[in-house]
Amino acid sequence: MNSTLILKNVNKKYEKSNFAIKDISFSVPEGSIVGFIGENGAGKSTTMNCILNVIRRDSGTIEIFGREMTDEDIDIRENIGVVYDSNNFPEYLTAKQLADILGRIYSKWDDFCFEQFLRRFGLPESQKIKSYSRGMSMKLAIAVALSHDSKLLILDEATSGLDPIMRDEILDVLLEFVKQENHSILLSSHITSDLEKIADYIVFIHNGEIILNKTKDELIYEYGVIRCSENDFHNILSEDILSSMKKDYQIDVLIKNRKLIEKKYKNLIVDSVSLDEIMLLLVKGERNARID
Amino acid sequence: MQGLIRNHYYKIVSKLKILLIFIFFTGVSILIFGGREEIPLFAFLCINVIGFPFISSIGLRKNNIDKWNRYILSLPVKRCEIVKSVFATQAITILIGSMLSVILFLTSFLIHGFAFYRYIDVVLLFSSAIGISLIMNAIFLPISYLDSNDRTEAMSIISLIISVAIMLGLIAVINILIEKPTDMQLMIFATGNLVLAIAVFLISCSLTVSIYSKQDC
Repeated sequence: MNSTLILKNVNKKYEKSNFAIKDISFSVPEGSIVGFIGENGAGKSTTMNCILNVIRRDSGTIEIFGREMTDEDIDIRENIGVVYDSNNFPEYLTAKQLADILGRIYSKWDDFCFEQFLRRFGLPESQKIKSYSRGMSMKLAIAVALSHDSKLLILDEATSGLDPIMRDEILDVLLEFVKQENHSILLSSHITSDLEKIADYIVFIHNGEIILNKTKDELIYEYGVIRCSENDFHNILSEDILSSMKKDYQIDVLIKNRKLIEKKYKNLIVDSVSLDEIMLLLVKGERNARID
Repeated sequence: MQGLIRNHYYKIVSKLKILLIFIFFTGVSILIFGGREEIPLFAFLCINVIGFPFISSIGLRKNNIDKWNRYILSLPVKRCEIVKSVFATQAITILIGSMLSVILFLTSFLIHGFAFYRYIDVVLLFSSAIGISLIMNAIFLPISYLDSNDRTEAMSIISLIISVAIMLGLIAVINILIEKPTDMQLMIFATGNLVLAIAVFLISCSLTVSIYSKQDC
């Protein structure tokens, strides 16, 4: 399968804060949605900004549509739609003026398509963006991203701060987008329920490092959590433990290969696990090693 | 670059509506009441050719807080085009300010008669005002890209003061070198002044492109 976006050993360090992303490697296959999750400050936005050349990476390679994108490669950026988490556009503009600007920048800008999205999302054309609610601003950003024949959407926390109904509407639009074979999405979020709904792959970043890169189905169907007493915990082999977290009256143990573990430890109950809980156990628990 | 200049146009119109209205009414007032005197005409020239681009440069400066600046980098535009569009927009504002002043001056001369001592005085005024504006932008815009935080508003005022000082310095040098300059000599000075200011403006644009191309945003 071809990949629209490939990151290999990307490193970037901020000298002032000493925060760094280290050896970031993952890909976004064509026709798929990759969910990029991590807690606040994990390095999601830094990675996104490296992809878009907003910040310069220290080392590593990033290929988009098979090429490394430099400042000169405007033809690559023609095919990328970007949505940031808030205030993508200046408040003094109206949607119509925004279309006027972007129509002169994107060679494949489609005014008709943009107007259709405005109608679909119920966005007023001639009202200043400063009067838009957060949800309306997000919808406008998505309308823009989908109105210039983009092949890759990069959304950085685009659903944060939105109510469930609004998020559901936006997720439906994203699913529609990716139905076309050569369309792909990289969606960063800390709202794991959104990714459980639409993502094909999950990449988990923590403290600037990728600690998980799996298909969503594998995580949902093969990973599990054992909730056991301390005694039972000591009977679990360390090679079977991905991460563990001690709670008041039990220890939660994250495991892989649920069916195998159920056969191995017949006295223990293995529950299914959500992305939320996987994230919690990997971040707050004691991890055994990098999960491959 | 068209789209970027269009973006700047919308920003200037939205932020400077009041100034533009003020310029209009000031012009009308001068035509009705003050066209016989030099000072109101000189003041109008300063507002249009120096004041308007000065305020516009503060609005267009690079601002790390503004997420639209970050979004623009994801568009199919090069960083050099982003910088050039700012400089082009400032050049356009200076040109528009000059044209508005020329229109007012000519209209005032038609209504009230010639208000200045010599024709060359008008040329010198325009040349100096345009020169100040170009040099002010040439100093301020690269600084705003080097250090894009709130201190840059203070830097814009300092840039204006420096550009005025440079212009006054050049005029003082000419007055020292040539005791009673002829109109032709003053015309050469005015032309040279303008050419120098334009050259500094263009060099500043290249420098700013170089600064921005190396930056994280």
